[in-house]
Amino acid sequence: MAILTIDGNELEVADGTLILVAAQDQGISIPTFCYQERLTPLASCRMCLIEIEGQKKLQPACATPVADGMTVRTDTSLVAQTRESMLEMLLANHPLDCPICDKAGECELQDQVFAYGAGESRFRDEKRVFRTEDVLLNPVIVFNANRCIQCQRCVRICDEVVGAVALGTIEKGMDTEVTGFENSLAGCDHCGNCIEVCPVGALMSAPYRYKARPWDLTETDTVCHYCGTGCQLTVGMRDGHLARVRSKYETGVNGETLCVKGRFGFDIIDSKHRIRQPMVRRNGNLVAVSWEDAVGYLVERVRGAVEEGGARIGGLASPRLSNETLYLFQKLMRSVFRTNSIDSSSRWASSGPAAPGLYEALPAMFDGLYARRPLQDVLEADCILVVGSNVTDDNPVTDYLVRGAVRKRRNKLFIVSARPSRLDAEGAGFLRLLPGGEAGLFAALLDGLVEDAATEKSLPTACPDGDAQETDRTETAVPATPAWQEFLAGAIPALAAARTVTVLIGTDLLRAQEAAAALRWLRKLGRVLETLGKRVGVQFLFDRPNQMGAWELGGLPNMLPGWRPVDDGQSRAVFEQAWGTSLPSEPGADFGRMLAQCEAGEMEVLYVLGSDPILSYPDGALVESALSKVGLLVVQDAYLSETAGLADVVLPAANFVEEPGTFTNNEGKVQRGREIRPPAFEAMRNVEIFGSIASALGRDLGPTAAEQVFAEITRLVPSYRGLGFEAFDGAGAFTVPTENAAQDDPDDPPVPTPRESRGFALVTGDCMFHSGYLSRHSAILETLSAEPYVEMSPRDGRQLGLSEQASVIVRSRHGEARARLRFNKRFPDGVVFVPENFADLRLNRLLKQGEYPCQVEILKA
Amino acid sequence: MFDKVLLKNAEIPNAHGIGAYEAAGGYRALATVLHEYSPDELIQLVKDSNLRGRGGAGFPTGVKWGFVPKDPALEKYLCCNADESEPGTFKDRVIMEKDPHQMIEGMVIGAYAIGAQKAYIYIRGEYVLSIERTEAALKEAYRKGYLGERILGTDFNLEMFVHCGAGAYICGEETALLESVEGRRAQPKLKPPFPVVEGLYGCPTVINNVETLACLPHIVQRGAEWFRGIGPERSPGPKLYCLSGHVRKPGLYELPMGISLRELVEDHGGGPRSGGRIKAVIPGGVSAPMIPESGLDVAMDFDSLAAIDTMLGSAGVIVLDETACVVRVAKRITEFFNHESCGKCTPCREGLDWAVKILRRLEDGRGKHEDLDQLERLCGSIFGNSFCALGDGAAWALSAALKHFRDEFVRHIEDGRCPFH
Amino acid sequence: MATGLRDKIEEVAGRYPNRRSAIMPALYLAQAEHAQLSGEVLLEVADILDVPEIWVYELATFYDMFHTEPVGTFHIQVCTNISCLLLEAEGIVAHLESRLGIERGDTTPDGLFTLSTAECLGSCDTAPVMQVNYAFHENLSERRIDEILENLRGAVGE
Repeated sequence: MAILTIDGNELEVADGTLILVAAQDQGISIPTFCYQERLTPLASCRMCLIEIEGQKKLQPACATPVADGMTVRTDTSLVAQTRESMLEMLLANHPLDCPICDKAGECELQDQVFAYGAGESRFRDEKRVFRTEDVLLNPVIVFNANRCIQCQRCVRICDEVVGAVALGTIEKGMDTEVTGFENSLAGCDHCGNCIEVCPVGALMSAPYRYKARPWDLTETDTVCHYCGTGCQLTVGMRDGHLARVRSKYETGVNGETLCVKGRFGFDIIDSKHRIRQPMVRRNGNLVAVSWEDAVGYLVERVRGAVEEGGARIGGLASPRLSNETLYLFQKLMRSVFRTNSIDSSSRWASSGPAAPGLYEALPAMFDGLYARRPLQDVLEADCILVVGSNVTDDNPVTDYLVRGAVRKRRNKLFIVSARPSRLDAEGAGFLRLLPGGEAGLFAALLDGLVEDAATEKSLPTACPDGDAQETDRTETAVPATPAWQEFLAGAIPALAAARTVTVLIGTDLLRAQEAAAALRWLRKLGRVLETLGKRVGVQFLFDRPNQMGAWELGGLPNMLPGWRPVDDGQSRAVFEQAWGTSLPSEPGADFGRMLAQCEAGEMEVLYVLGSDPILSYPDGALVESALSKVGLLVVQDAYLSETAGLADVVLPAANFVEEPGTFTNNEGKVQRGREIRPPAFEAMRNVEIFGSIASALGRDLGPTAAEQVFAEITRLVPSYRGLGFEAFDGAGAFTVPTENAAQDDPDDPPVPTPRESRGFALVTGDCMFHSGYLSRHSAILETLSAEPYVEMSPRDGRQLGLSEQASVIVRSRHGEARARLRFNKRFPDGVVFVPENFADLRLNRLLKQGEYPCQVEILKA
Repeated sequence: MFDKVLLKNAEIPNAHGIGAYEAAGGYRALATVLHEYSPDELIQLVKDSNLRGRGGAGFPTGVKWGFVPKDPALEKYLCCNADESEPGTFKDRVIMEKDPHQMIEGMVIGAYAIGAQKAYIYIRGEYVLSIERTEAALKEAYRKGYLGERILGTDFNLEMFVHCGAGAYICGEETALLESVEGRRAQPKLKPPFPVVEGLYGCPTVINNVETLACLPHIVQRGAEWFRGIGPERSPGPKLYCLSGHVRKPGLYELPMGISLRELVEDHGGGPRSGGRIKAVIPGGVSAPMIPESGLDVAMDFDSLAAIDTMLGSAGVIVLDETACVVRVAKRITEFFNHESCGKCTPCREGLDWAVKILRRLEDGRGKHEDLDQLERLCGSIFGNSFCALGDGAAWALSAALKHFRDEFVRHIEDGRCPFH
Repeated sequence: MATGLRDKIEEVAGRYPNRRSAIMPALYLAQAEHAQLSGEVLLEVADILDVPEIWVYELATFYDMFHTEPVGTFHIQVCTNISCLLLEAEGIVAHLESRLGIERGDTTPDGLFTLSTAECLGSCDTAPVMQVNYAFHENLSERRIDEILENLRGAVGE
């Protein structure tokens, strides 16, 4: 700690604190342009120069740490005069075109001139003009160089935080200009973080251009609905329509950052593809009806299936929906429709008949091992292992945070994924591994650790219950490739040396049929690391905003809310008492089994909530055929999905900004999504639709207002206990780990042997510009990424005689798709990637459950 | 007559070849160092010599070396600053063209002192002959075992490379130079951390000027006391003075540190060119504030020049006779700094451009009296507030012109034209 | 692009612990081969070194000796800094402008000459000086200039 005085106030602050920060904490604001907390200090704008007793020159407060006994003055006439001078110089060549500048009203240069400026300029020469027309660097970023004050925040955030290294600085001196390669940012992430950090109107949002003055906007803080990172953002509306999205300085998990989806994909709220009114199928066509008629029709068809015991009813909910919606949906299904056939994802591996499925392995992931803590803290670990994710594409803001943590702390990052990501370069090691191989990896790591610990003589004594015996020498079939050996040679010692370990698990892993084995091995690895005295934290990297909430609140066929097994009488009793009804005791079907049931003609009612399985279920032939055989297909959604086109009843739901609700992000943090406007057209809030269906069946679903539903959750779900709906604002509130029914595996889980592979292995997942099949309703995201593509290594491409941009056919045993080829020189040989989001591609027609990654051939089209 | 030290080989034909250098006793100092000195003893020797950096700042070389962490596990670098770009300066160029091995031997000695195993010579790109000769000399030195692995049979290894600048004056600033070697835009970096602790690639790095390094073999061979005995004790040694401008005998002169400026200009340089009168002298490259004729008796060493508000800098001495227009000179100097400003900090980037605009008007006779006040204000805002010495130097140099020759500026305003052109 | 360039760049890249450091020497090599650092050449350099394109663009524009615009066969750079200025470098530039029929900064229509002014070239004792494609010409006078231009034109004629 250091004791110093600033403007006569004595204060004690931690060593290394910057004077600027120490002063700010005292309420003494020191102006700056170039300083930002998460960027490397530059000290170039010279606005923050202050006096330090004993120093000849003024010193930059943004780059000078406090020292014991230091006397700082920020209130002298010299300091004031220097600020005036800097501002006068900055304004000398600034165009002063505030009346037509988007930034006017929230411009830091305006604000600082207002606060510290001289009020007149002595500059009487000609101003420097880069150009008279602004440059559209890409469809979302527009640039006016004349206004730039060279704070370099944009360049630093693009490099240090986003990692894109798309923006740079060209020329020098007065000609210095911030720009992309040859004045274009066509190939960048389009995340717009450069716009966000720009203090002036130099980098601007093209979609927001000339749309509003800041004071015209009604701004609401809410949470992003695109992925599980759970970024805080601020939606600015004008006249009931979206004007822009921005993020606030050091707010939320994301700080001031967002990705392209979060910043520019919110135009989806004004999408043309809304479902405007309830519809039912009559004579083969969907026709608009009243709510009353729609619900009446639905209930009439459902009643029989309920009365026969609910076994022929199933429900699929989207993990994009709020906790309240998801909770109430499973309550409706279980207590009113009397079925446990509930699922909340259509993309994962379905359980095979031979092995226990993914969902049986899940509960063990969500007890104490799950790090329900800020990602920022979790990333402080000595060693970080990322498995099964292209974080850059799946969870871009998480990628930024990992990059920041690794660059700052130089902690060891190891990445295991099927395809390369930008984070590879930040790591101490990476391994290209196809989905399905993760169990083998965890087993090999565990093996290595046990061996390492044995030589260190620490494990046998530290390990309780003779666990050491069991974990000793597992028969793992580690491929003896140099890449594996090199990876393990780096990762095992790093894990062994670390006192804290973080494992981040991506969704690639969940798509392969070996997912359950992988999770069981991960659990085992976690336990052994704990036995070795390490603090271990696991977090999932879900690419959907509420997969964690969906699972924790009973969006599973085998689990009631709070990881209580359906087939456990005591568990059921909790809810039977709370809901005042008996509950079905048999575990239901996951979505794969529901489809099998449909296919067999045994599904009377399938209720699809916000999901689009026709496109997303990884077996196109099955899902198309099965859904055509459902007695009554109900689709409740805000947007027109492909599945809605097949439905018998279509119910228009509120979209994300039209209903309140909470979301549990990957950190296990509950955050509020706010209602920004009432439901458009004839849409109703999701929870209200459930209520009206229950009442039409003569049942009471209990209170449906979000606040009340949340209160019920906090009463019945232990990890949510004590949280209050209104209590958490921007910061959110963390769920807490609780004991659940998960048991440690008594035996080693099996290590699946890698499948023989011929041809190319097709993997799919998110691309940076899209989020499943939802984001196609965003006109901006569609503009930025309209065309599907096939990514492969240039070596493979050349071997096939194909050139970049060639049109190719991807053919599997089940189907084929056509797209353009994209080369990526970091891509592994023998693998191709096709993003999952392009609806017209119907990628799932190539896929079949149990055959992921899918074997394909690549042919010239 | 002063016996030349640094330029003693320069007149020998083909002195740039290793044969001539060895014949004149070259690389014997290196052998002495590697066989007889520990790095610490070597650092002490250089400290005892009072050798101060010839790049301009005059920091004691041995002290700088002493700051390098001793941890053998840390990789360390030595960089030779051969980005000689200070207008009026051409001394390092002569060393590299005529006697590159002198610099290379000095570098190997320096690298041994600090434990560096890799060294870069940053040569300004326009110096094509220097680059060519240095590259050739490096090849020779490798061949002879003065570079590479197990130098002269010892455990000491050193790799040395040339890195060519590409026309940016700012690279002479040591942190900018390192940024440039790292492949970035050459913009000065925050200090601390100082390069001796965290320099090239984040490793401890010493940056020494060509002339500084060239002194080392001589200090090793002739001793610290000998070196300290040349010129003022606190800033001693042989010194290369670059004489140019309105002087009869321009050229590079090797003389003791601390000779009087008048002696240099009038005796060695033969006085002003046309037999006229000297108006002013810039003593250390254009960053050094000009001295009016009346100040010519000053001693040419770091401390004496600092005492009269100017500096030895690069010892680029430019003579202005009475035909020179100070406004034009001041404008051109400011234009130079404005052109070479890297653009990083506000005062240097914006302030110099503003000053140039005013100075151009003044030179053309379109200036106003309040412009002079504004120039002074600008100098005040830039000086001391710039990120690095470039802005400070520019403002300092301009202030001196305004201070000593304000009447000339006023005449431009009042006459509405330049009285000299 | 010739594989020769790739090999040469790989060779210089070996002198540094990271590839970013090799951008400057790579730009020199590319410029020697292509005279002008067009966008295409910069992309090739970025590709060979496997560094972000913008890094290459930054350096190609920061340093005066890299030319992203075309330059003439003979690039004449006249020092106009103080030592040369005092010895009438402006007159030398004016003479060149009139002999070449272009203004400073321009290239003759036949693409033979580009005339630039330069900062100090470090040959102040032989002022005024200029470089023609980095070859020094010292103690210039109008007559010397005429000789030099004649020689250069002659060299092309052959």
